[in-house]
Amino acid sequence: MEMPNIKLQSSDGETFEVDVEIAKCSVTIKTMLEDLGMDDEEEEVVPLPNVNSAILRKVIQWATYHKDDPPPPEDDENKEKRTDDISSWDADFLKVDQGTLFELILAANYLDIKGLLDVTCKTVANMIKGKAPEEIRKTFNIKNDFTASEEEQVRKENEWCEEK
Amino acid sequence: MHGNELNVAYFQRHGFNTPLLFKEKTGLGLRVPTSNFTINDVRMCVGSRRVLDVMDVNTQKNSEMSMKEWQRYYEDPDKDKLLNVISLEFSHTRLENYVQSPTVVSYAKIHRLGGLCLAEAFEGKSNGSDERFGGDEIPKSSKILPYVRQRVLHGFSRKQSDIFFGDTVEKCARIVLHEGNTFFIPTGWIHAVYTPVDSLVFGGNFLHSYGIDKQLKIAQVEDTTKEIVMYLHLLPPNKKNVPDLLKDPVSLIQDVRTLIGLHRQDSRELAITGRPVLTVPEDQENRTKIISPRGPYNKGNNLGKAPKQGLFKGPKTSPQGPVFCLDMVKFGGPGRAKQTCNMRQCLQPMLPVTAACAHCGLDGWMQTPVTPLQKGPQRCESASNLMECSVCYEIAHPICVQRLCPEFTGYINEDMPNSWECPMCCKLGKNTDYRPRHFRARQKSSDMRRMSISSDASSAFENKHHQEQMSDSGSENEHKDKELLPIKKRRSSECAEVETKTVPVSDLPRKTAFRMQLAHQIASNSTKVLKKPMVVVRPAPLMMLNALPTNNLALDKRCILHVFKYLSPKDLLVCALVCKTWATYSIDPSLWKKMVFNRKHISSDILKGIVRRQPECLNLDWCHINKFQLPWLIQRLNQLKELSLVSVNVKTSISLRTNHSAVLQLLDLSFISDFNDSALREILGPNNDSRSGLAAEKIRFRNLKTLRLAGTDVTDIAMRYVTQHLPSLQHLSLSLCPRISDAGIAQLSTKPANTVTNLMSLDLSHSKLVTENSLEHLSKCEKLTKLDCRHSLQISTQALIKFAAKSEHNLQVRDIKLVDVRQKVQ
Repeated sequence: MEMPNIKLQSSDGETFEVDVEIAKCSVTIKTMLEDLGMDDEEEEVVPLPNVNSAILRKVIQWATYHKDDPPPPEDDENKEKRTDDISSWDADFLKVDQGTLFELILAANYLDIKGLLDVTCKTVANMIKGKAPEEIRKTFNIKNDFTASEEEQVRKENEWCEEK
Repeated sequence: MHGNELNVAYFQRHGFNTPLLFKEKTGLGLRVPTSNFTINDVRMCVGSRRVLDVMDVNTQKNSEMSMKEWQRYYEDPDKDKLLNVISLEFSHTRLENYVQSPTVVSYAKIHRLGGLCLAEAFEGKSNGSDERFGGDEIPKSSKILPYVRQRVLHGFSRKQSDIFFGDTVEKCARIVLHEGNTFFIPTGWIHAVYTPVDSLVFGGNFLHSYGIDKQLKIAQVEDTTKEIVMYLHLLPPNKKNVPDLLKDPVSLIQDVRTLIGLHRQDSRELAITGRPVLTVPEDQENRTKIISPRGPYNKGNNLGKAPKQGLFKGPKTSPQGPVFCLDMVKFGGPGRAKQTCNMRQCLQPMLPVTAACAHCGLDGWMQTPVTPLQKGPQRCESASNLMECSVCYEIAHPICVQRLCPEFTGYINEDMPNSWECPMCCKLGKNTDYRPRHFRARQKSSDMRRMSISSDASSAFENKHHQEQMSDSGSENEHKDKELLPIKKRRSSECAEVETKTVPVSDLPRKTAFRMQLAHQIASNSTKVLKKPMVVVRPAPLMMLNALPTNNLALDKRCILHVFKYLSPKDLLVCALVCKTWATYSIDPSLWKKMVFNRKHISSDILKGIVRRQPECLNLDWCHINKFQLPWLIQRLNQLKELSLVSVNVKTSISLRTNHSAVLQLLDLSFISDFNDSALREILGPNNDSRSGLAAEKIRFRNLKTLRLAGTDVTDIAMRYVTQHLPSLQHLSLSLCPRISDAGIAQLSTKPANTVTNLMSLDLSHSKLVTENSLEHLSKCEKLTKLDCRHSLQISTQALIKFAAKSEHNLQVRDIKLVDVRQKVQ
């Protein structure tokens, strides 16, 4: 049986033809289709002005691989989230440069793809965990804009957690 | 009958068992304002802000109104509602001066209940029948009592409006009162009042001994119905108005009842004397406590006083004893007198100038004591050198005592002038468990002082100086003697002994000048800021997306905030040190919905940290947090939904009373030691803050759904506060509360408590007093789906199974005594 296809247009004008079921991984697209009744007109192109073609290609790649996954569970506010449960395929998939990683987060956020957002954030979180501030700055190419006294102030305010 | 005929002898002869109507008040000794006295005058006398209990006549529901609002209502020609002020206590207001109770009342009474009350009636229909005993509507036989019983039950079970009481009795009467009439209603007469026109009525309840038979019968009715006892039990202790001197009021009443039972057959004729048995001198009236009956006990009906309900009935009993305290709003008074507590007046009481040494008979200036009128001002220049012992209260010169008892030295009390522990007492060891008894010790002398010329000079605080200045009255010899006296000083605050040092003499003005100079020097030379600047602690600001245009996506909030959600608090604090942008992101409230501080010492930095992060759920279990920090914090956490204060200091928990929190949903006060009913009342009760706007907020925890009181000392009384002040309560934990009994549970399941409809889970595990009777009550709680009775000694599993079966919620019993909803098998 042939699945109906849908066309997604990236910010730089490239059009991707995707299986509707795969596109519906994105809650944003799903809502758009349902609300606007776009699924009747196959010719219609869904514009995604916030996502460029390189990233959109990655997103579609991820969504295609995960199309049969069960829906992710609801977030539990009270439970601390694990970050060490990334599947090996995802880990391989996310072996990309930092800029792409962050753009994937932005895209996943915009397209509302929870699974992708989860896994990308976990990857970044793992880059932060257990590191000293200076190491983190180096990793993410962030300039330290604190003055000495400001840094001291922040440090003092945060002391309460370090006793743990 | 004429007013003059109503005297004590009349009551002694006939008792007081029939109602008495007087068309004219002449001869009664009754004084009320004239007919041009209006509602406005009442307001002028009691104050516009006085709060009145107002009853809606149609619904019989009570509400509160200020005097000003009431006046507006009263003067409004077309009223939309019929309202009635049931009573307005005006003792201690200016109105008191206009009104005097009838002569016979002031003789006959033993204890006047609440002075007179001013009732303001309304225009309209029947006021139902109210609960007071005594009345317009009178069954004229002694068959009244069964009806009283019924009435009581009806009244409390809210069926009052269904049946008109007058229809159910065999006989009753109607008395029409016109302006200027005075009407006495004896004890035990049920009455209803119908007031067709707006009227001001002065009335008073008084307790007398001329209807004891009936009172005893009513008491029996009350005993069998228990309703009034329940009501009284629920009153907070400061509203019961049990006089201080009564150690055990319950057994006193019991004894009095027995005594009266013994004497009720005595001949009545023997007691007719025309004079009251217990006279109350006019001027002491306000100060008398209930005097226990002394003297001849065989006086028939006269001697008894059965202060059954009257003794406890809070709102009506006039404050006795510490008048000014009881007048204060915080003790339930009207707050009109505006006087300091008696116990607080004058911390430096001095000896009267006429005081004389117990040994040599001379006064504080070594002269023969003279009457104040003859005393010349020249004698006041120096201080009295008499000392009063704080243990034995003997007033003497230190030298005189020292001669008698050379081997011991006295202790001078530096907290009070002319006070010491004399060597005699030290010798006898009486001062070992010494506790400073400041003004008590001087009460007698202070009475004398009121009449004497003020002797400022005797308030010698620093005896040393005055001993130096003594030379004008004392001889040089004596002066030297004193210097040699090995007297030690002691302050009550430290209780440490300090050997006296010879301080260089300086007179007071010079000292003041020095101090001023020093203060100036400090102020001008110091570079330190004397006062710590106030820092406003704000919650983290809302940030614009992409506030800073940047190429580094690691600084983009949309990215990094999601990443931060996967970090632990500790990692987040590291991130805060990376850069300013991350620091701001790291305290975003969405990351800090729950903050847990276990067993921490809460510092101001932590407080600031909490406020910046605006958590919804704050756990301060076992933390050291003081009573200033907590209100400061809660005031600034507008989003706070859950607050856990397990085992914090009880004072800290009470400090919550200054907070309003309409959003708070969960409050955990478990395992706070010494947490009792009054603590809970402080926290939940209406705010006592008199600032306008704040006082209006009656229910401060409007949305509180869960309250945990596990392991506290709360009793059944606390359940009343719970039902009164927490309209949305759904989950209540009383685990490990050994003092909760069936009566408390009954309150939770008796209308109008909201818990009847709202309560979903109740934890009674480890209770000691709760019995299976409670289950019956709880079956009235419509939504109750979880009941934990594990380890409750008096509740059997059988009873719980029955309870579960009766409920419509498909409940089961598991873990022996835990009732909850049967899980659906999947």
